[in-house]
Order: sequence, then structure tokens, then C-alpha cells
Amino acid sequence: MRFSTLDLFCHVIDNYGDAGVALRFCRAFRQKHPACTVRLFIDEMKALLEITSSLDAVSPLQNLDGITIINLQSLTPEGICSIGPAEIIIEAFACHIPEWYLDKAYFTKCLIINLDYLSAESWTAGYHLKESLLPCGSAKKYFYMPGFTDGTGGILPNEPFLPCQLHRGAFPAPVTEHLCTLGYPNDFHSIAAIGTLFTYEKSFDTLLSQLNTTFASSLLLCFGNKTHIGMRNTLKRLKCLHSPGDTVFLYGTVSIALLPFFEQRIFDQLLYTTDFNFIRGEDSLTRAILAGRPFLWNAYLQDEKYQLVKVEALCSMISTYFEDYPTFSGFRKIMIEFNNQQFECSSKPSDEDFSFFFENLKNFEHATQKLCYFMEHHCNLIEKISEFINAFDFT
Amino acid sequence: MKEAQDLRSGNTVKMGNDLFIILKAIYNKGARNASSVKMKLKNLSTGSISETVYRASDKFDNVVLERKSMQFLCEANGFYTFMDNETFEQMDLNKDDLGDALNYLKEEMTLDIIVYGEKPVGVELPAQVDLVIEYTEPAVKGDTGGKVLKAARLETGFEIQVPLYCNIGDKVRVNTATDEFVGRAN
Repeated sequence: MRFSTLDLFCHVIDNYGDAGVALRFCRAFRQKHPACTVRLFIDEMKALLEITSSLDAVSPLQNLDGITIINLQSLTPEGICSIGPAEIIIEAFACHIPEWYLDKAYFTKCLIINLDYLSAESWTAGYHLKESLLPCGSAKKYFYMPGFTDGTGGILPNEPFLPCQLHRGAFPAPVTEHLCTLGYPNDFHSIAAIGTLFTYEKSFDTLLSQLNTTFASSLLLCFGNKTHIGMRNTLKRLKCLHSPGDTVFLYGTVSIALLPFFEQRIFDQLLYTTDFNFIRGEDSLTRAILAGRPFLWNAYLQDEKYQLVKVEALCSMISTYFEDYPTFSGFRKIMIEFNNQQFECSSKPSDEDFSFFFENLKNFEHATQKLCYFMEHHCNLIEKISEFINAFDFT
Repeated sequence: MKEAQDLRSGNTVKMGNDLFIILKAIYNKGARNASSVKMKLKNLSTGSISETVYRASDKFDNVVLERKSMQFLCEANGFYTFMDNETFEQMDLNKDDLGDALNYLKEEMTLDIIVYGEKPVGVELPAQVDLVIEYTEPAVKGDTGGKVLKAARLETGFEIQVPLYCNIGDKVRVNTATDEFVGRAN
């Protein structure tokens, strides 16, 4: 190994994806290169605290799974002076690395990598591993474009755990335990349909009504404050029953549980144990694909509904994994409907039609599993980025 | 300073000690309203061309270059002397400065010299030039054999492809960007 240090910089804009992917990258890289010292510089600890345990919000330096977590907001001037640049510097999602760090890094023979957002759009392959000339010094910088094809940077793999032990209805223990505190039994195998719901704020009227008419019983596990707000507003409109504590609801045959965040690893495992996953953001999308379960993706809302361009690109990429065009066409239709929002809002009833999705869960599962297989064997981001780094001349 | 998203083809930027002219700039919108720009750059010192990518918000020192309209006077000892048509000042350029422009350079020709400070960094030919054919094989009547073009050496020594009907002494018009025959020049 020709390098021994890696620093990753993460700027938290909103939600949990920035911190989540940064942590996941650090863990996965360290697993591949155990002799490498990995540091994660983050400017907002709150997002990290939601998806991990054993960290605090204030300490400037902490350790998590062998990774040094550096809280940029708590760094003292002495701390800043003592930090030297690593050989590999990851600039996650076009964040701005502090000037005091770059002033030192530019004049070393380091490799700076802009780790961009995951996208299925075809233009990303043309940007992948292109150099970004720096204004001074001897450092080199390149763009790294995660993606779903051979010509891109791949996707972050899951941590190794045993998917064969993660069968339907067998939730990770912390989830089962929490559900028991809410009054659920500890056996979910008899429920006809189990799904996760982790979206931006939106209405769920048709989702609930179609689950109610399609399945004899169903369980929706809802995560994230925005999902909760959307669900509560929907349930108020539908005038459904709820338990004391306002976290468990019943709409016809649909049981809805509003759950807190669990650790990143627990959520990853949970996705394997359901019948479908409705998820948001790039990281959860990747986890849902790797879980091989049918999914719908709620893309980050952008100006003038630009998220639909991203959704169409994903659909175009995934189309080759479907057995027939009508099934793909049905998938594309609901994906567009699911993302056809200008703003995050749940004050009006929704009108998406999920019936085709629920009637074709087996076909969607088949397509997702084929996609998952390709990703696992051809699109491992850590393998690909390691190959690139190993070929770099640090001398 | 300009941001990458504001740069266009033809702009010149400075990075380190080198000047780069932007040959192509493509903008793409990424996730979270973040964007990036792919640029094809030509290093004005070395002539090398590279494809690079920047964040849309990356800043560049924008460089304004001066263009001087200058007439080619003569060549001596590997130096090509040009005269400013307005100030009559003279400037010597070498082969490397001129690059492919040498293919079309003849005495009294006017072209734009691009200058940064006092240093010439490039030349710009007219889009088309008229030159005399110094040598070409005569066309044999009836012998087409599927050929539609033949080689012709221009008065500057550069060789292009011309239609079979062109002869020695003909003045032809040439596209300097593509090196293609455009037509006869009267």
C-alpha cells in the first residue's frame, strides 16, 4: 500500500445523507485498508448523532470504529495548527475544504478527490476521473462520479453482514424490541405486506387506501421527521384510529408505526426483511437496491421539478433489468407520480396509483435482484476508488 | 474572478503560471442543485489539450488578452517578423508561437496575434485564405477511377486535397480550420 492516511471532508446541508454517506465511505475504506488512518471532518455533528451511537455533539476529536471524527465547529486554533494534510483527501459532494487545510495540502503531493453525488444520468461517465486543475502547488485533484454502470465510480457497498439470515419479517433486534414497546407482537411473518417508508414530506392517501384494499393486512414502518409529518397530516384527513403516544395508527387493515432513527447498520439490515421499501436520498436508494426488494425512490426536490430528470435517468438505467416492457412501464409511471412534486407538502390528498406496483411485487423484486447482482459484481465503489488511488503516483 | 459556470468557449483563464484557452465548456446540473462544468482547455504555453471538470462555483482568474492585427513581413533565421498595422511596431515570433498558422503564412498576410502583457501566446488566422497552387499532378482526361480529389502543394509549401480540375498556378480558397478546399479564388 503506497498511502497511509485519508481525510474526508463533509459539509452537512440538510437531512442525513451527507453525514451518512461520509461515515459509510470511511467505514468501508478502512475495512478495505485497515492500515490506513482515516479521519472524517464534519461541520454538523447532529446529523451524525442521529445515525450512530456513542458520539457526543461537542468534543472536537472522537473515535468511532477506528475512524477519527473531527468536529470542525469545535476545533481550536491549536487543533487547527496541529493538523497536517493526508495523502488522500476526499471532498465529499463538492463541499468546501477549509482554507487553512488547503493552504497546506496544495503544496504536498497529495491526491484530492471530489466525491460527487450518485446519479444515473449518462453524462456522469464523461466526468468520471477527469482532472480538475488546481491554481497552485503539487497536489492533484480529480472528480469521482459514483454511478450504476461500469464506466462510473460505482456505489458504496453494504458492510458485510449475513443477508441469508435476514429473511422476511425477521427484523433486526432493536427494531423488534422497539415495536414491542409500542404494543406490537414480536412475530411479523403472518402480515401480508411489510414496507418501510422514508420520504420527504408528502401525502399518503392513495398509498394507505390501496394497501388497505390490496392486502389482508399490512405494516408500514415510517422513518424520519418529514415522513412522520406527511403521515400525520394524511391520517388526520382519513380520520383513522391511533394509540396513545401518537406513534401507532390503524387505517383499515394497515398498521402504521412512526419510528425513530436507528443506527445506519440496523436500517440497512431492515431493508432486507420487508416486502417493499419506499426510500429517499441517494444512500438509501443504494441500500434499497442492494437489499434486492421492490422499491420506489423519492428524489431530492429541485427547482422546477428537476428531480424528474434524475428519476427518468434512474428508470432508464433500471429498464434493462426488467423482463418485459409493460412491467417496466408500470414501474416508471409510479416513479414519476411519486416524484411529481414542486414543494414538500402534505396538506392536500395524494393521487398516485400504487395498484400496479403492489400487484407486481414479484416482478419488481426480480428486476431489483438482477440489478443488485450487477452492482455487487461490477460497481463496488471502494474497489474502484482503491484501484484509482493505487495507480496514483504519490512521489 | 469568474466562476466556472460563467466561462464560455474562447475565454482565457490563468491557473498557476499557465494560460488556458477554453475550447469547450459543458454545464451539467448534479444533485441538490449542485452543478459541475466540463471544460476542454488548451494550454497556451505548451499547446496541450486536456479535458477537465470543475464545480460550477470554482473560481478562476479571468484573463483579458489583447489582439493585435499584424502583417507578416519576412522570415530570417527562424524568426518571423510581424508589424502592427496601426503603430508600426515590430514583433518577432518563432515557429512554436505560430504553430499550424505556418501552413498558410505568406508575406503581407495580416492575422491577429494574441498577446498577454508583451508576450505573444497565440495567433489567429483568417477563416479562409487564398493561395496559389505551386504543384499538382495534371488530371488525365477520362481517368477518374473513382478519385474526386488529388494532392496539391500550395505556395506556402503546405499540401491539401483539391478537385481534379485544379492546375498549377490556380488560386484556391482554403478553410484554415479544416484545411479543406473551399473553391477557386478569382
